[in-house]
Amino acid sequence: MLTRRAFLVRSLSLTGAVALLAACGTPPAASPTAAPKATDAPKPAATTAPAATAAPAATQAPAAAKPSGPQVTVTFWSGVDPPVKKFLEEDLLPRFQKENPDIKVEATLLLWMEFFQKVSVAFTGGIGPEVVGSGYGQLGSMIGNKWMQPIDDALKTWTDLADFDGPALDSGKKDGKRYAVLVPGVRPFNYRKDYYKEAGYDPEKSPKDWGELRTYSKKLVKLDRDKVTRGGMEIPLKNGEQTFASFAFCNGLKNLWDEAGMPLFDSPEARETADYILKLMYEDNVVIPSDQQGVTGTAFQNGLAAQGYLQSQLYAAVEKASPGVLGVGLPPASTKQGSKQTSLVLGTFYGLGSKVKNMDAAAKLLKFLCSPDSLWTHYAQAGFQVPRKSLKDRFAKDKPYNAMVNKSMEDMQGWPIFPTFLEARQVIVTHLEAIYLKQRTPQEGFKLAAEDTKKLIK
Amino acid sequence: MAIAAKRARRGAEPGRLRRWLGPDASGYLLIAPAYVTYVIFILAPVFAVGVLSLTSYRLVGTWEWIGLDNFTSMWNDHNYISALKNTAVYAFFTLMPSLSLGLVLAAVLTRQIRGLSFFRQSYYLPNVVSTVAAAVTWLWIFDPGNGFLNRILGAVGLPRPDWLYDPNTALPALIVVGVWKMLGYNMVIYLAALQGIPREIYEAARVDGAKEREAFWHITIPLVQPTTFFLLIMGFINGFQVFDQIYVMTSGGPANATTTLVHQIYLNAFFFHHLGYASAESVFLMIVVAFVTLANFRYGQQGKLMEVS
Repeated sequence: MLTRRAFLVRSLSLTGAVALLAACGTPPAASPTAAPKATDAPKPAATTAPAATAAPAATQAPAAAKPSGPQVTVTFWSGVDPPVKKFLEEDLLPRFQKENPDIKVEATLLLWMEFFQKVSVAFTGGIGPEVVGSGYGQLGSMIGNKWMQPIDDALKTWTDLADFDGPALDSGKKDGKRYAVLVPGVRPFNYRKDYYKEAGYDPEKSPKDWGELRTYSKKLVKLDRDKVTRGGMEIPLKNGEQTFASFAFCNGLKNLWDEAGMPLFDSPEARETADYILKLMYEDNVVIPSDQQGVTGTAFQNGLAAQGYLQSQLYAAVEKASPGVLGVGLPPASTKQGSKQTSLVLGTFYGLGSKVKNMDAAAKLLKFLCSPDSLWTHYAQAGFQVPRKSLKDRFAKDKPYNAMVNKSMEDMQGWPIFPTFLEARQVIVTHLEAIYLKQRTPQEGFKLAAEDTKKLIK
Repeated sequence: MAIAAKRARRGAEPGRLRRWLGPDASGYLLIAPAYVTYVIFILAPVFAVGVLSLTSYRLVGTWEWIGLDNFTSMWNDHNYISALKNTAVYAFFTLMPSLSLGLVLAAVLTRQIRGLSFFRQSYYLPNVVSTVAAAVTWLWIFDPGNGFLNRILGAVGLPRPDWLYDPNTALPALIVVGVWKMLGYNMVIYLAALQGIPREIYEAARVDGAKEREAFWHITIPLVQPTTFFLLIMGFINGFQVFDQIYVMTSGGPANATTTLVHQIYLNAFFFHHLGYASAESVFLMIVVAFVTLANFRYGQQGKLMEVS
């Protein structure tokens, strides 16, 4: 008969032994110099993907050739939306493999909501990818954590660098080094042509300044006993920093943060912008509450707002739901003298992870992803802009509103790249919500947000 | 020859490990897989979180032991305080209606009414629906401009709140969803408990002149008390761990009006990489849950005694 005491002693001994065994069995924390093991990488998506479907204007993929030597493996991780996942798996990556039989791509394509946490864990565990597709705001954190390496050397071998738009190569710059190439997604001003017609406005003309925007919004709003059922203008109450920035850039605010992550929004320009937005919300009652990152989509996307700042990657969804209704214009300037019509541009960055086993192969994949054909596929399948001068005309002719999208790219602004971006974003988002809900005045809200942001740097 | 003798002796005698484990060796072997899994996947991570909570670990870079600093900074973090308050409110106000309604529904559904199995399944269904799918449906129901709920309220001339976009109504709206989801589970457990109450007790009460309502108060409620305590504790733990519903429906907004403890842990750990701080938040949550579980042992036992008496 086992006594209680003996049972406890033996249980504890067994637990200790198992814990020790588990500890010994755990691989040691990866040192910064540890090279990622190809065998540890997740199951490749590309190798199991169906045959390539031809992208519009894509060059015919060459017939698969046999590897001339031993195959090298390149790990590629990217955050994706479903359309991007589809064309990467079914078109671009199989095409790359056919063109480069010596290189095996192990692709892990993750939805944005899970990408950053997984890629962070992978890098920390020493199995970070060699080629990375990161979100705009995530790049700063990844560079700050030394998970990315400069691509300046890789770019030296690209003979067509001059063909890229400046922002494509410069947006991913930090401390004078280029870390990634941007596939841009612009946010110009968007409106519904059918709603404009209904309100008696010319469907080819959008408001030029904030004064006109107020007039348009008041006429476009639909109310049911003071309750907005269709917004005249979409200003997301939640996760609203992008729309706020789109307004504020046109009121002379250079950016929400500087290159070091210090706040620039505790300024007269930002406060004036917030005051203007509050007028639209409360005096004019033209705004329907919405969430920029809500799972059910934005109000404009769902036809519940007549105007808004929509990312171009969502144009296809709007067009599919209501063909021919999408209008694109330049962001309305503020009524201040000399204010501009600047568009917010974000997008996906392609770059190289800090540990690359075979630089030639990784650089080849990076170059392929940024080639004219690949970038055209990014546009045709997922609505990104094509940051290639040689494709500008073709892009402009492809859709009625693309000429205006091209024009919006002439005066554009992205976020600065800094390590604390994700936290700084969360700070401004929360304080903007409080300002929009009138829990705080713009003055108080931005001041508190600036203090919280500065603490992050410390 | 000597080797053969040694081998024969070894075959006859039990091995050292076997001798140490005694006659229960095979028992230990049988429980070993579950035990090992428990140690590796539960005990070791819990221990690791406890250790990390005393450090400034941030996933990358250097870290140092900082003692209880993470725990003290939690109380100066207004996001954490909001989360604590919201979580407590959510847990309490989800639990109470779902418990009481669950018992009432179970009592009604023990009767022989038409469509009994349909009602039982209908009430249980929300519990098996994916939280994310349910959350998306509720997002449309709560849509301020064109949502189902506001259309109904508008039709009868009542005020139409902004629900998930108003800090005053966002948490109550989430509580409604929480109750909707938990109700069916509570009802099923209560159904099982009610079926365990001998009919004779009710018959005896009826003979003594007790009315149905009195029987419910004086027989049903006391006799399902152990079940009530079980559901109370489980509901409380679930309420304190709410995350997916918050993540999908409000992301903790507006203005932190719906952020919860686990939502804060998620943000700090996986978004901001403050692993040490997030671990401290987890340890605090674990202490709360452990405290409540101990309460379960104590008061659950009292419920059992009441049943016996």
